Amino acid sequence: MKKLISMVTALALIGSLLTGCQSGSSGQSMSGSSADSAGSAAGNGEKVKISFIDGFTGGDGAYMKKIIDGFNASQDKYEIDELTTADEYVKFKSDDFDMLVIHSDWISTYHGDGLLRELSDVYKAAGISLDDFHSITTSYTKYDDGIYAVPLGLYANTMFYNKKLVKTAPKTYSDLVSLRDQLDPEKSGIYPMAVPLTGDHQWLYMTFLTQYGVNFVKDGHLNFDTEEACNAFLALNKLIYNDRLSPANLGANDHLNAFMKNVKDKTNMQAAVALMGPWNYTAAKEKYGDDLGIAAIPVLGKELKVPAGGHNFAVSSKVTDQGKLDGIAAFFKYAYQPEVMKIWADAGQTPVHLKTIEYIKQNPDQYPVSMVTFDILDKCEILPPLYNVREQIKYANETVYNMVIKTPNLTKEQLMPELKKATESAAELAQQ
Amino acid sequence: MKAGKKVSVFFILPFVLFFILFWLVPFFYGFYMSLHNFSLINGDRGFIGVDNYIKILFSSSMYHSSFFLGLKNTLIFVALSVPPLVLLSLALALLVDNLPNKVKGLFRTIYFISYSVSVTAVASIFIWMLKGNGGYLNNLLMNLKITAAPIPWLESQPFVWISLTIATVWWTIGYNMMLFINGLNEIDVSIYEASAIDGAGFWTKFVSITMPNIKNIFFFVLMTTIIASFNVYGQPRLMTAGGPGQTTKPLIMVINSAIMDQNNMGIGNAMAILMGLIIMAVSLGQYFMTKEKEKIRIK
Repeated sequence: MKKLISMVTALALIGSLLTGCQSGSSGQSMSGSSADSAGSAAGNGEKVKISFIDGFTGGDGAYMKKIIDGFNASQDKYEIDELTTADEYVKFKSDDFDMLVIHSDWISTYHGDGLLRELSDVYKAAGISLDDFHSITTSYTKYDDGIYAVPLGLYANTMFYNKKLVKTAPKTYSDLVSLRDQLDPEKSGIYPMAVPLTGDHQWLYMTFLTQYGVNFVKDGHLNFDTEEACNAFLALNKLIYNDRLSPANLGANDHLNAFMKNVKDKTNMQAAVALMGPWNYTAAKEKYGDDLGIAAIPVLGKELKVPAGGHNFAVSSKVTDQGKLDGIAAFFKYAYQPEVMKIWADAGQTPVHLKTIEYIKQNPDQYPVSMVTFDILDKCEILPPLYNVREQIKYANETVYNMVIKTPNLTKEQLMPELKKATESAAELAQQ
Repeated sequence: MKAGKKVSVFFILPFVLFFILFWLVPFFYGFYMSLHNFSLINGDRGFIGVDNYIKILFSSSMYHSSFFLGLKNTLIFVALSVPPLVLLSLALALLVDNLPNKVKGLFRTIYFISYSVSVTAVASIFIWMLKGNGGYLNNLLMNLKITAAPIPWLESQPFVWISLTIATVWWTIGYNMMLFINGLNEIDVSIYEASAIDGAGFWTKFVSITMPNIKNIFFFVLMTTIIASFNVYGQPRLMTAGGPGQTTKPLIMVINSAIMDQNNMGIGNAMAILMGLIIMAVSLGQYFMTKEKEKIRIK
């Protein structure tokens, strides 16, 4: 019996050690083996396979697939294997992928963690340069030690409005106040806009911070512990509790839900305007048809600034095989042709490739969201390229924002301690 | 060793093997990581002793505040959900047990069926019903003139805790009820008949016959419910995303965030070990408290 138990234990330990060894060296060995296989594949006349992961699980996924399929069909040397999953970033960290689509505000963190490959040589091989893209992209793709991503598209906070309720698109805060007077929310249950508990909420308070000209970066971390930031947050609070431009106590995604609903016996509130991501365009268009208006967000602070985000291609730092790098360059050469990249605009996204922008502008009616975004590209504000910035901003997203939208007549004294905590948390996360 | 024993050892072998591979090894590896500066991306960056534990328990770090916030939220959930999950399930079991045999099966199925629904579906149903703006319940209450304004069931405290508790109780109460029903079925009916002849009422029968006979099941249900409530994740994750303002973010969500979002395997594993110790302490405390009561009762 004792012998048997010791045998089982020994077997288990050997098994676990083997598993441990494999997982411990997975990065190197996989990279090495895939490099070898790529080399031998090229030698055998087989296609060099490039593994690619993205998170386009929504409607835009079909359009990315169209681009990939188009490239694969055009090639006899390279083939891209695409995986689309909601767990894109987790999988990229734990598995081995050659290329990924990365959000603009993740690049700084991935660059800091050494997960991305410098791409100057790939740019050169693909015959593209950063000058081929809108200048805003430099702020998040270029670092002191090189270029780490190829910009795909940009999405900005956009105003959608119900033309039946709003005759002309509001351009300023006072336009929204006038709209409130016209709609008479107390009686009608229809408000100018809806401030949600979550869902595009980071963009909402960022609209106030950027439009009030708040500098919220200090010593490599987000800094909300200033009078200016506090005043910007208080302006958002005032929008709900003083000026009644939105009902209070709304829930998740209610900026969209309230916009899409019709008021019924005041059991639910309706919003005439929605400030939200362009990915909601299809749903809104289905609901409103020709009554859907699209415009740049209004000036809620001092000057027009528009929070935005972006998608980019990036390459794993594990990719060393020249065959794969040549394949990736060939893909970029293919994708950054206006006739191909316009597929991304068909998905409702806004390409930032200048030649594609010109190409799309020839058919403005076909790309209404992109046309609005093109006009405000110079005003777009993407999260600063700080390490761990998405984590740094979480406390503000979850706790500060909740306090701002939930506390009637919030005061500076109540808010400043939370802004201090948000800053301390950001500073700690920036140093990891 | 006899042949029979050898055969039985082979039967338990797969379990032992899998237990070692998928429980014991990960557990010790997790403990090992908790003593290291371990990053999800960069791997082991060196031994740091109990620094992670000190950071979580005593420092002014954000990990300290997030751990205790998660722990506080988890304890609130345990306090709110365990009493109804144990007492209501017992009440339901007694109710079903007293039904005519013909309909017993039907009601057992009705109460148990919610347990077979996935947490994703449960969350979707309750979000649809409890949404503040235009939710089913608020529409009903307002149309019946019971409330003048919508109640923020999923948007503001304390309503969010009430909603999470109701959803959890609705979802899992059937499992506990089935355990109690099995316990009740084991009680000899003649004891009830004899007590009835002696003039015992419902309460006397419950206290003197039912409870002593299902005592072990009661403790088992209590323990497993406490442990399950400590491990709550799906309902707050899907119904509230830990909000509003992190007020329903449980410890598991904090641990998940430390590991998957902040890439800090060392801190995440230290938090998980501490959470395990807390659950063990609470369970043992519960066990000894009830055992003590039992001794007093026997005396």
